[in-house]
Amino acid sequence: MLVVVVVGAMGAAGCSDRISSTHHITPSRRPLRLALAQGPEHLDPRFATSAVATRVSQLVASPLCRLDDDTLQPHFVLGEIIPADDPSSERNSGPSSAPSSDPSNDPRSDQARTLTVRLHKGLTHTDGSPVVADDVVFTFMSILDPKTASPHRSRLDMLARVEAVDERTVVFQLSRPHAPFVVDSVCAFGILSRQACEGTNSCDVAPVGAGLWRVNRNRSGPDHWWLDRRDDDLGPALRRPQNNLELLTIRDSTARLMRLVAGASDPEQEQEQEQEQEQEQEHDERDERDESDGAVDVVSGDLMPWDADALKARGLQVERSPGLGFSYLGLNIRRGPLQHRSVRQAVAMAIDVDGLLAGRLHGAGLRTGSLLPPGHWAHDDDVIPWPHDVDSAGALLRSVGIDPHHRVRVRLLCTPDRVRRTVALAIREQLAPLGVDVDIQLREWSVVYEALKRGGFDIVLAKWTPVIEPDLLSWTLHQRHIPTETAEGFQAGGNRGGFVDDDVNAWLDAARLVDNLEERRRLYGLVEARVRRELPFIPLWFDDEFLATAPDLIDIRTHLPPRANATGALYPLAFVGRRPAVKATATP
Amino acid sequence: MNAGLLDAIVDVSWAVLCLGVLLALTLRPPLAWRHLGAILASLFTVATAVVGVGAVAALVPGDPVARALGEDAPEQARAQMRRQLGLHHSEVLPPLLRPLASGGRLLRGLVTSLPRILMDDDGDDARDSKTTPDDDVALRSHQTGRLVWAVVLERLPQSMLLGIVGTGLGAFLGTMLGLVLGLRRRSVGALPLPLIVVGDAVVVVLAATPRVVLAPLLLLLFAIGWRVLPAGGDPFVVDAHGQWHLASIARALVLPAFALALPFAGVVARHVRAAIVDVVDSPFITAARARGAGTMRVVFVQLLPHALLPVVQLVGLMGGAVLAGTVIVERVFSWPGLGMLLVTSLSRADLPVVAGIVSAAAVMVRAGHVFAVVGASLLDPRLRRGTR
Repeated sequence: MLVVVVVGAMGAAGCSDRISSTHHITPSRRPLRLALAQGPEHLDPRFATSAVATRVSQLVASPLCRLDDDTLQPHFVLGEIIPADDPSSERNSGPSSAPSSDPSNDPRSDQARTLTVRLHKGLTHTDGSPVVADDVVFTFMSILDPKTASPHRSRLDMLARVEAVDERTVVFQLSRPHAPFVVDSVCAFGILSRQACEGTNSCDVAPVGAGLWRVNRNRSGPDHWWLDRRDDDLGPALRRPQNNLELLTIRDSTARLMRLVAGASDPEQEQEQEQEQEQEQEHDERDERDESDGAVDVVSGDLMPWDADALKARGLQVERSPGLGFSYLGLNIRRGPLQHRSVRQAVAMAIDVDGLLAGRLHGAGLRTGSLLPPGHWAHDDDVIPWPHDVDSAGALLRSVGIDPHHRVRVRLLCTPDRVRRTVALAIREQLAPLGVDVDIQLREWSVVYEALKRGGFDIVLAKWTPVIEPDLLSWTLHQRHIPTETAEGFQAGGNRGGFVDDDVNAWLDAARLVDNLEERRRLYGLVEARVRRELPFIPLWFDDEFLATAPDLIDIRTHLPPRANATGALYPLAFVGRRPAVKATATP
Repeated sequence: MNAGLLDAIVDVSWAVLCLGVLLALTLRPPLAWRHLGAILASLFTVATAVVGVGAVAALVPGDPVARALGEDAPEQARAQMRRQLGLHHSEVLPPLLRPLASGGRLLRGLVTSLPRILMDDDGDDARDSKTTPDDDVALRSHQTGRLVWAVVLERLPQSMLLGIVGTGLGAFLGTMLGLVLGLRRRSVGALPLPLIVVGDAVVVVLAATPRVVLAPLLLLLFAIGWRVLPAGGDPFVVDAHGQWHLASIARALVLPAFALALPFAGVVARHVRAAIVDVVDSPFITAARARGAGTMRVVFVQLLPHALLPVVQLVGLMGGAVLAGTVIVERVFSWPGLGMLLVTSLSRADLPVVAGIVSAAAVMVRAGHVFAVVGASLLDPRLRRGTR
């Protein structure tokens, strides 16, 4: 019998030159452990509100469609849209920005208000029951049901009804045309099993849906979720995941990285551990949980560029992807010097954004003049950033009576994290010679957010949620979304700088109604061009995202989407393989 | 009188009654039933802490409901949370009474839901529809809909385990260290002077090291550097066979317990050392030696009771501070206790759960106080006589 020897021990014995290593083709049974800064507050897609909860819930209850990694357009995974000219369908497709749909420009037509989806054959829920059209009806109607008290109910207020035509065909009927319906709603909510989730709250902690993993309640804890990969028949449309997942909430950022490093053992120790594990598995079918080290395999989000080199030095893999998170300077144009367009334009030209990116972020960002990332179907290449031109900025400021001898003071509000603080300091240095004194106020996010809502700021340095459906621009730019204090109470809105432009209002309303992708792109291009001129906010950059993983994960790059946000990496990582265990065998 | 005003008056009454009784018990304790009075005072101290959380929620700027649920939350959910926090009384109550109403509502919710928890009802049935009836005042987590007591009691054992082990370990290490450092006379086994100087320095460093530094340091050394202990995680999760592993729990407990214990040990050691120095030259020690008592007997029979008195009082104080210490330690080691829950609840503005945790912490403070009083009276007969 060949002796399986621990590599470390053999090295110590000085016989490593007599050892040959062969790769043993046994996939590791260890789960993929992902460290999250914040855990999902709900796994039921009807109640998940945070980004991480949405992502995790979609692992166990897949929505009808997902967003394409390149163009951010929807593509259907559980079914397909039945096009308008399909003779087999009595209904027509319509309210979709998907390219496969047959668009109509007439918002009054039924076609613009109807979406028909036929589910693929052979789909099953995580409990093995078939996915049928009635499950789709249940999912959406329960969100609309006031008794459910779903926080997403208002997102479906344009949905008049959902009907199951037959076992596999479901029809969404809208009360009014709403182009963002597919991205905002159909791709947002995972499909749940009516049989398992109706009249019970068990789906809150362990949803039964059309996902690729099932929640193992017994092995999950308050800050810890274990997702078993499905081994049953998923149907031909779905790809089988490679790994069980273990999601761990580790709130402390230092501890997250430490626990990642703790798992990055040196090759000798790694071999030793693998061999020990294999032996134990063979003998007593040992539990898959690696109970010894508490280490994690993947940390995403909250990684800084300067962390990357240190982590690589420890043998970890660090992947950097262009992100969708959008850093910007929000301007309050209702008061103070910033109500003058010339001052806003001067500020945009006075700030050396490229210098900030290179000097303060180690180049970990992509400068932008648009809210929509390059490659997005609505991105307009003509919307370019303002050039860095201090002389022109000075001239503009002088035209409104501001110069180094007639100074103005503005208040810049931001959170006290390291990056924002250093960027804020740099902005202050760059504006001071032109006669603009920046009073930096570092506050916790809840305070910043409260000031934002109430308009209690001049400039805010913040990062915005990724804009995937450009209808989100309506929330931040439309006049109807300016926060107001009324007798009935505070009316919330995303247009916190108080931007008012009748043309922009009209373009945004029109873009919501039409179902023609080219027309929508044109309208959003007009909006962005006007925003570039009026500057209710100054776009800075899209932040790169970093993903650090254990050294034994293979082909990370090929599985990651070209763009990633902090939690978007969850889904593709589940297909990442682990390097097979290395068996070192002694040769005579 | 309309129902809204009546409801507001009931909420305010809860707060006023709680504060009034506590004030009365504090200012003029009823001597005839002293022990019962002490128990009542403890209960009302806990209740006052809960009232305080509600009052702060009503006083802080901004809308706590919008902060917790978001601006897009359905009106029904917002109204439900406003009711739960007692913020719906703003139309019928003057501003000065609103904090009291909010505090009273939280207290009322916690007290009225206590019997349900004792009957093993965690409120899951009532949240089937995600909504609760208007007349249900039971305090629930607005994130999960579960009764607050159920959420808190789920984590309490883990925090208690960490707190007890950490405090006990700190007390033991501190006592031993202080005892050794306090023995200055060679006749009772003192260390050489250089070692005492080094020991004093170690004690100062331990006492001065914040846990936020110590915990990552231990993680770095023992989990990453030497890889002898786990880096953290939830050891209470069962395996595929539905079983806990005591060995896993014990291993996972080591680093958090030491992170909690070492600074406490430094503080204890300084107090014990001072207590020992005070008595080590006393005539009764000389007499004991003259009677032929050995070093061990002198140390553990004659000196140790003097050393333990400050330890007991410190442990009593530490009982209340356990939660504060475990917040940091649990965060670094991802220990699934009340500290982690507090951080999560605060970040999600889940005030009902925060109120529940505060009440649990207040119970710990009172329990620590009782431990200190009882322990001190057991160790020092003079205190027992003084209480007669």
